[in-house]
Amino acid sequence: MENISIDIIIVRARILIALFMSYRLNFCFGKYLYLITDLTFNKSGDCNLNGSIKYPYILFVVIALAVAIGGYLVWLSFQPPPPSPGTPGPGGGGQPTQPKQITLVVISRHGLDILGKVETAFLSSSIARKYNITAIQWLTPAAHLWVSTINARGDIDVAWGGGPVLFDTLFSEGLLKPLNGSVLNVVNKLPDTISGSPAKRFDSNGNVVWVGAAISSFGFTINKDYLKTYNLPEPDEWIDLGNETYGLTLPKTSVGVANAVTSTSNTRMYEIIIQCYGWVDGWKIITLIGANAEIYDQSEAVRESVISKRIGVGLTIDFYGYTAQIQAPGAAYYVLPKDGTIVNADPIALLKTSKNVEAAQAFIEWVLSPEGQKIWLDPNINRMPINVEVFNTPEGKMRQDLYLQYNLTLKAATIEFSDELASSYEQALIWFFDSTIVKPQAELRSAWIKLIQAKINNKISQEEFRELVDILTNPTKLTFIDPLTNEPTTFTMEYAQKINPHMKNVDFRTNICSIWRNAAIARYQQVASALGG
Amino acid sequence: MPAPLVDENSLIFCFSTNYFVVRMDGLWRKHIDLFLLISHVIPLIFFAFLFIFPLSLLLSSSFLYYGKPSLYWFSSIFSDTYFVNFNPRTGYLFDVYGDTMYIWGLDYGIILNTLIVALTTMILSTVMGLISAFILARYDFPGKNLFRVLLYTPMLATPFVNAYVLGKLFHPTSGLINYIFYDLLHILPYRIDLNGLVGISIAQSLSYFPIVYLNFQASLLNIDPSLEEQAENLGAKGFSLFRRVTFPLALPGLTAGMIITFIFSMEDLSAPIGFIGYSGNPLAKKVMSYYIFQSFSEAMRGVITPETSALSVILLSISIIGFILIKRYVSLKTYASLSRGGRWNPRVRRISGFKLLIVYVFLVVLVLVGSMPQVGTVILASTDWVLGGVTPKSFSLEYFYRLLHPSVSRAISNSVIYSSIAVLIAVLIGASSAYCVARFKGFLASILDILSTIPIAIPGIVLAVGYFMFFTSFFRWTLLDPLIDPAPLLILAYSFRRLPFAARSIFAGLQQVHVSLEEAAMNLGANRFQTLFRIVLPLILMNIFGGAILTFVYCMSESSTSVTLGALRWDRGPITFYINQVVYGSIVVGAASVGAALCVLLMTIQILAIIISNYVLKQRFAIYGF
Repeated sequence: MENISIDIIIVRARILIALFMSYRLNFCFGKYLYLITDLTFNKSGDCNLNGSIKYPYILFVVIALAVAIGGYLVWLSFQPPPPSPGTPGPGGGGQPTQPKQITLVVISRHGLDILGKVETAFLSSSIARKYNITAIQWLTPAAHLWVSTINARGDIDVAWGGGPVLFDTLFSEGLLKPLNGSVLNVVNKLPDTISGSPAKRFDSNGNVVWVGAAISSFGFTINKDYLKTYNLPEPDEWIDLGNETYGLTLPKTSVGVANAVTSTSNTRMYEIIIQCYGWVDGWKIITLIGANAEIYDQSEAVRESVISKRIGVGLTIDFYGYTAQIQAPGAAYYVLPKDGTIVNADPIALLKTSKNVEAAQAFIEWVLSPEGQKIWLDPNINRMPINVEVFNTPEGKMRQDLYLQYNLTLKAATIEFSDELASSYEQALIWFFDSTIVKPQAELRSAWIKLIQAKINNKISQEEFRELVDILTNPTKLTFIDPLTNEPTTFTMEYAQKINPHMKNVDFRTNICSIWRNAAIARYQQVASALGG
Repeated sequence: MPAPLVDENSLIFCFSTNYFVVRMDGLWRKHIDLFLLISHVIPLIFFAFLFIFPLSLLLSSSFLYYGKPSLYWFSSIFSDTYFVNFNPRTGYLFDVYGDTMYIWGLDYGIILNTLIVALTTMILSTVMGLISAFILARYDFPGKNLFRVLLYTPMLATPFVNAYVLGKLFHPTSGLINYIFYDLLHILPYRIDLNGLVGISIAQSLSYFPIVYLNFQASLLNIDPSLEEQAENLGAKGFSLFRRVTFPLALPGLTAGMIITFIFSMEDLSAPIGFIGYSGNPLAKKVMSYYIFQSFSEAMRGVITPETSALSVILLSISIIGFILIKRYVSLKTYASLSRGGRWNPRVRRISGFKLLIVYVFLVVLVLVGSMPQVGTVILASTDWVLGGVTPKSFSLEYFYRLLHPSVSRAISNSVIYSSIAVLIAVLIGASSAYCVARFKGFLASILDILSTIPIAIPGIVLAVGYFMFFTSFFRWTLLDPLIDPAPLLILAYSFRRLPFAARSIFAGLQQVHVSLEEAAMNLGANRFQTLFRIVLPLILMNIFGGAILTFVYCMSESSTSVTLGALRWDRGPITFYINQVVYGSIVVGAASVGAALCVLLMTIQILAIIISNYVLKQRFAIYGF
C-alpha cells in the first residue's frame, strides 16, 4: 500500500517537474508567476533567455535533474529487493518463481559479520528452500528499543542474541511464543542447563520460550608482553585486579573495564564478583578495580586496548578473549577466573508477532542444528556453540582449539549464581557504579595513588593501609541522606534492593545519583587529605 | 510606486493567514506576496517538525520535578561542583610521573570545562586559519595550489575510526608520535600523554581550523576590489592595507567561522569519544557533550534524565546566546558592496629565500599535523598496523578487498542518495530562510535566522532520540515512521543537521550583495522571481555551491542519527552506520582496518564531490580553490 502511494507521489512530482521545465523552456515562467504573485508591478513581458546571465537556468536544470534522479533512486530503493541479493538464487536460479516467497524478519544484537554469514549460509540451505524463504530482513536496534520496535512493527518473526536478561524482558512483556513442531526435535537434544546456568527458559506450562543458541563465559584477557614489560604478575582471580600492584603504574593504567551503564557484559561481571565475595567485599574489590582501571564505554574498547598492549588486563566476555588470542598470538590470553565465574546462554526465540511461524521455527531449527552452529566456529567469530555435535563435523574438527576451550568452559570454576538476586539490585548496582566510580574517578584515583605511594614509602603501616582502603571503598561506610526517608543511610544490599524499583523514576534516580556522587567525592577527598595534601 | 521594496526601513512584520502586513509610507497595508509567504512559511514548518516539536517533547522534562513545573534541575546543576567548580581538584598539566609527562588539563567542572575547551579551540583554530588564509592570499610561491587543496584534508571525516587512530598516534607507550620523538629520536625528555581536556581542544582545533580558513577566504573573495584600490590610491599598502581595509571588510565571514568553531567544539563528540575510546581518560569525560551523549546512550531504557535535559537546555542556551551576541556585532559591521563587477584581486607578492622557507615550514607542519587522523586512517587501511605493532610493517590491500561485498555498495548508495536529497532540501530551505533573514529582517526572519543556525549546536544524539520518540508516536504508519522505513526521516534529519552550512554560506553571500541592486532590478520592472533568479542568484552562486558541497560532505559523514535510526532497518543503513557496525559491532580480526578502509572510501567520495564541483565551476571559480 505504501508503494502505491509513493508511486503516485513520484509520478506527480515528475509531472510537476516536466511542467515546470516546459514553462522555463517556453520562457513564460516569469510571466506566469508574475500574474499570481506581484499585483502592484507594471507588467513586463520581456523575459528573454539570450541575456548574459545563463547560470540560473543551468542551475535550474541541474537541480531539476538532480531531483528527478534522486526521486527515481528513492523510488527504486522503495522497491522490494530482488530475491536473495548477492547470493546464488535458491535452487540454482532459473527456476520459475514460486508462489509464496517468504522474507523472514529477524531482530538481533549480533554484529554484521555474523548476520552476513548467516544470511548467505541459511538462504542456500535445504531448509530455507523447503519453506521457500528467500530473504532475511535484519533489524538491529539498540537493546532498549527492542520492546517498542517489536510492538510497533508487528511483523518480526525471530529474536536472536542479546543475552538472557533481554530475552527475559521480552518474555515478561509477553512477546515470546512457545516453540512447537519439528524444532523441538533439536531443542530437546540440547541441555537444559550449562555449567549451572539455564540454557532454556520454560513458561508456566513447561513449553520452551527461549533456547540458548550459543554459550559464553566471563573472565578477563591478559597481555603477557605488557605484564612482562612492567614487571607485573599474571592475574588469575577477580580480586587480583583490585590489588595495589596493578596501581603501581598509575596514572598510566594497567587494567581496563567497561562502564556498567553501557556494557551489559561488564555489569554481569560486577554481579559475579558481588555474588562471589558478598556485598561488602565485592564492592570493595569493584571500587579498587575502578581505581586501577581505565573505564571505557564499550567492552570492545577494552579488548582493543589489551590487543594493542595499552593495558595488561581487561574484563572481557570469552569470545573477545579468543579473538584477542588470534590477533595478538603469544601475548593475549583469555583467563577463566579461579575464584569463580558463570556460563551464560545467548538465546534465540520465536516472537508472538511472527506472521510465518513455520518458517521462523525452521530458521531457529537451522541455527541450533550442527549446520547452523558452524557459524560460531568461523575464526573471526570464535563463539562457543550450544550444540556440541558441531565439533564432529569436518569444520568442527578443524577447530580443536575451540573444542579445548569449550571443555575448559564446561569445567570452569562456576559459582552458584542467582539471576533473581542479581536482578533484585541490578539497577541500583549500575547507577551506584556510575556515580561512585566512573563519574568521580579522577578523585578516586588520586586518593588511591596517594595511598599506594604512602604504603610503598612506609609512611603508613599495613593496618593503616587496610583501614584507609576500607574508608575509601566500603559501601556501608558511605553515609548519605536517603531521599525517600530523609534519613542518613548507607548502601547495603537491602537498601539497594529497596530502591531498585525506584530507579525507574528518573527524578529519583538523578537525585540519588548526584547524592552518591557528592558523598563519594567527599570520602575520596577525606582519604586524600588524611594522607596529607 | 514600485512598492514592496525591501530593506530595513519599510517592512513586513506581522503576518496573519494569507497576507503580510507591510508598512509603507507610514501606513500599514495588506499585501499578498506569495514569495514572502512561501519563503517564510516553508522553512518555519520545516523547523517546527524537525526541531521545535521533537526537542520540546524531549527537553520539557528539565522543567519538571516530580511532575511539577520547577527549575530545580537547573539550580541543582549550578550548585554542584561536579558541573561548576572554580577550584580544580584534579587534573594534570605538565605533571611528570615516571618517564611520562601528563598533559590533561585541569578539572573546573563540566560546564566550565566545556567553555574553556571551546574558547581555546576557537582561538587556536582562528590563529591557524587566519595565518594560512593570509599567506595563501598574499603570497605567491610554488606549490601554492597544492597547499590550498591540502588544507581541506582535516575536514574529511573519519567517523569511529578516529579513536583507533588517535590511540595509535598519541598513546604514551604504544603511540607512533612518542615512539618517533622519544624512543627513536630522543628529542623529547619525557613521553607525552596528551589527553583529557587539552587533548580534546588540540584535536578539535586541528580539525576545525579549515572552517575559519574557508570562511575567511570566501569573504576575502567577495570584497569589492574598488575599495582596496581606493585605499591604495590613498597610500595604504602591505600589512596596513590588510589590517585597515581588507580585514575589516572580511570580518563578517571570519566571525561566522569563529562562531561555528566555538559551537562545533561545544557540540563535538568525536574528539572526547576518540580519547575515551583508546584510553578511557576520566578528564575527557568531563565535557557537556559527552555527559549528554552518555546519558542518552544508556542501556536498556528509553528515558532521558531531567538532569541531562537541563544540561542540554544549558548547552543550547549558551550557543544561542553566543550566537546572538556575535550576530549583533557582525550585523553592526556589515559591509555590503554595490559593485560586484569584479572579483577581489589580491595584492599578491612573490616571495623567496628566508620568508619562503618560513611559509613552507608553517604550511607543511600545519598540513601534516592537521591531517594526522586522515593519514593515519589511510595507513591503517592499507597496512598491518592494526595487528599490534607501534609501526606498520607490511603493505596490504586485504582490507580493501573485504569491501567488495554487496552490502557495502548498498550502504554507499544509500548514503549518496540520502545526502543528495538532503543537500537539495537544505539548499532550498537554507536559501529561503537566508533570503528572509538578509532581506526582510522582520520578527519572523530573526527567528528563522536563529533556527537555521542552531542545528550545529544540537548534539546529534539528542536529535536522534528526539526524532525517534516524536516520529514513532505522532507519525505512526506514515512515510516518516522510522520503524517502517528510516530512510525518509534520515534524509530530513541530514538536511536539518547540515542546514547551517548551506544557510550561513548563502547568508554570507547575500550580506555582501547590496539590496539596491535588487531594488534597481525591481524598479526596472522585474518581479521578485526575476530579481531573485537573474540578479541575486548569479551573485551568490559561489556561496550556494560552496554551501552545498560542505553540506554534502558533512551529510555523508553524519553519524549520530545514521547509527541510531539506520540500525532500525538493515538494508537502509548509510555508510557511517556500516562503519560503526564493522568497528564496534563485529569481532573480526582487523575490524578497525576494515572500518578504516571504509573511511578511505568515504574520504574519496568527499574528495570527489569537491573535485566535481571544482570542475563544474571551473570557468569562473576554479581559481578560488573549490
